[in-house]
Amino acid sequence: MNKKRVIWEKPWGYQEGILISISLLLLGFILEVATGGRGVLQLLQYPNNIYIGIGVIICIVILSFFRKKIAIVQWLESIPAAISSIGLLLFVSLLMGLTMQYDNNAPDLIRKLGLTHVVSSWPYLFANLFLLISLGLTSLKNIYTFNWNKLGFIISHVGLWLVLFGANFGSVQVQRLQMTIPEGGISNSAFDPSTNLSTTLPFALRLDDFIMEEYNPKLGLVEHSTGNLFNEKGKSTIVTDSGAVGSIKDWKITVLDYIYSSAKAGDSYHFINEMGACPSAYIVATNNSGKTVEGWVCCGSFNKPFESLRLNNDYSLVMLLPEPKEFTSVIDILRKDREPERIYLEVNKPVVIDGWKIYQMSYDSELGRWSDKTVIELITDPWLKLVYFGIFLMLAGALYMFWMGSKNNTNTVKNK
Amino acid sequence: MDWISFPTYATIVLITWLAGLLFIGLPSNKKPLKALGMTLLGLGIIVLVVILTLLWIELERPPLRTLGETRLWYSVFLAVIGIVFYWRWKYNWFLYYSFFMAGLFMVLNIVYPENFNKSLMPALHSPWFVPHVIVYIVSYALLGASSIVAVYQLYNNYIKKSYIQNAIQLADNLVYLGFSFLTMGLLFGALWAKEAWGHYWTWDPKETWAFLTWAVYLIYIHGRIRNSIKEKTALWVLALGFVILLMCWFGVNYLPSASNSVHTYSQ
Repeated sequence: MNKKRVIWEKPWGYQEGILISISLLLLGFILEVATGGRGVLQLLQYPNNIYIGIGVIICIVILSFFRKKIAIVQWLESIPAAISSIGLLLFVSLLMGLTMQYDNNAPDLIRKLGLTHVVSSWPYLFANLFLLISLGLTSLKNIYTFNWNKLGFIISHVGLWLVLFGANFGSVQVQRLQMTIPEGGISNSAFDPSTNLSTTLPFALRLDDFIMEEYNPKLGLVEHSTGNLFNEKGKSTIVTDSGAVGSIKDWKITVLDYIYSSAKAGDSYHFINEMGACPSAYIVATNNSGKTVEGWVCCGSFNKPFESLRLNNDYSLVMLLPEPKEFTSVIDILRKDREPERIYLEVNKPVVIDGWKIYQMSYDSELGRWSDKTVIELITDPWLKLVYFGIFLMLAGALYMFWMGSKNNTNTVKNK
Repeated sequence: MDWISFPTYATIVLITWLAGLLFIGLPSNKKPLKALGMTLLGLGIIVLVVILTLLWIELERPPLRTLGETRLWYSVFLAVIGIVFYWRWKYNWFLYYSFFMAGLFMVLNIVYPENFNKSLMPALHSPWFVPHVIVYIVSYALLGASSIVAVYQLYNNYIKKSYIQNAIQLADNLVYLGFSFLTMGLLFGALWAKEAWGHYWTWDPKETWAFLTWAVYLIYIHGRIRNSIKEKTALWVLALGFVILLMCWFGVNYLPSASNSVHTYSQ
């Protein structure tokens, strides 16, 4: 065997990789502290993100031309460099995973080190640049020397590179705006909650209706001494429904009557369809010693009181507020010289209008299903297509790996 | 869970598995006994699948929301992986450990029963819900199995000073399959997040830990190419990877940053 290689003697390996990673990390922290923990957000602001992004691409392409002449380029294409760069990004992300992000109460030192805003800090930027350069050079090397066996390798690596590149340099151009529209009202102005600035949109939205569907409310026991809901894992609530029977603690509970939309008149509840109507149920509760209590319970609403059923000195039966199942805003899109276009906006079903993706976000939670307004979010991300292209390449790469992973396996066994 | 007596069903599963493993582990090398053992293991899996199906019907939603529900799926997939890879590699110990882990997750569900709850928050009403979670659980089961190999091999290395030939190849295969599922789970999650929350990646605590998990296995895969890192180091990476995976799956809920997480669906 030849003599042992000393550190920094070429070709480089893991030792150099670890030292480079540590140096980048330290340099990142030094820059972060030196700039008072302001991070790189300002630096990457549009259009700087474009210039820096182009700079990174040019740098990778030029380096790749000299790959045979410069030993460092060959190292950057190597596995030790891949592992060092992934390791550095992993370490920086671990710091993010262990600290509270955007915590205003964080100690000054933590903030100055950038640990309250890791994704916009210098160490994170350096880790990403290291990975982008190493990954970019490796991808180009394999593209230059293409053969069909490298297809899976190339699509997964190029895919990851595009995702990292697009996510890092594109995120500053993402615009997330919010708009509140009252029922029957029209709005064409949305505001950015991070800057509180308003933007006028090229279209207006009119809320025709806000519809909410709720799950049946649950019944539970409240302990008088603590005011807390009795919670025994497994059996502590019953879903209210006509005829439902269940037991909580030592009480057998039967729901004789359930009215989804009701109000109290006299001593009992009756169906009614007006603003603020609330669910109610007539309950019979019997405990192990044969004691029976019956009466109405109601969870109340913003304008109706709730009613509980006292079981004994220790417990009362209560109806919990129903949980939302689905909510929909019926919206008309109003544009110049065009007929209004009707859309039904739901959670998980955003709609694209003139380059803006709009989302059902929230409503007046105090009024619940009687909410008379809707809150929607409007988002643009000019880099989204690039990132999606990367994601689909990565998915194809994952499928390829799934397929080839087992094929490689058969080959190894055959060779034995 | 009044409608199915879960502890009873789960105990049936555990007993069939235990009996199956006993038959397979008997010193006599009689084929019929092994076949009986495998049949019992398969029977246990079928009962478990029946539990999940009944749960799905009863809850009127996919039973994939809470940690306890995901543990049941994990048990199914780990057991299936145990059988498939045992059939392929013939390591008894691998079968025992994967069924031990699958059984452990069932026991956890018996000891810590959950409030089975029919409601599903609007953010989870999505065609992405089932593929995202199932793909992740399959991946977790494969990667969990790979960590079994790693821990067993490390134990042999350090304590018994012995070495199992080819065990790391088994680990490699599990990781390749597991990692391809992990990547799909991660990317399905990103595509879904764009539809539900407006952005494909927001470094929510769960996302951060999902990325960390992905990165550790990425390091393992690169390290194994042409034995770039020592086998022992690779095994340690694999063992550490599973710790981070568990952190992502369960641990995140206990972190201080979890209060800001949009991924907390337990209760």
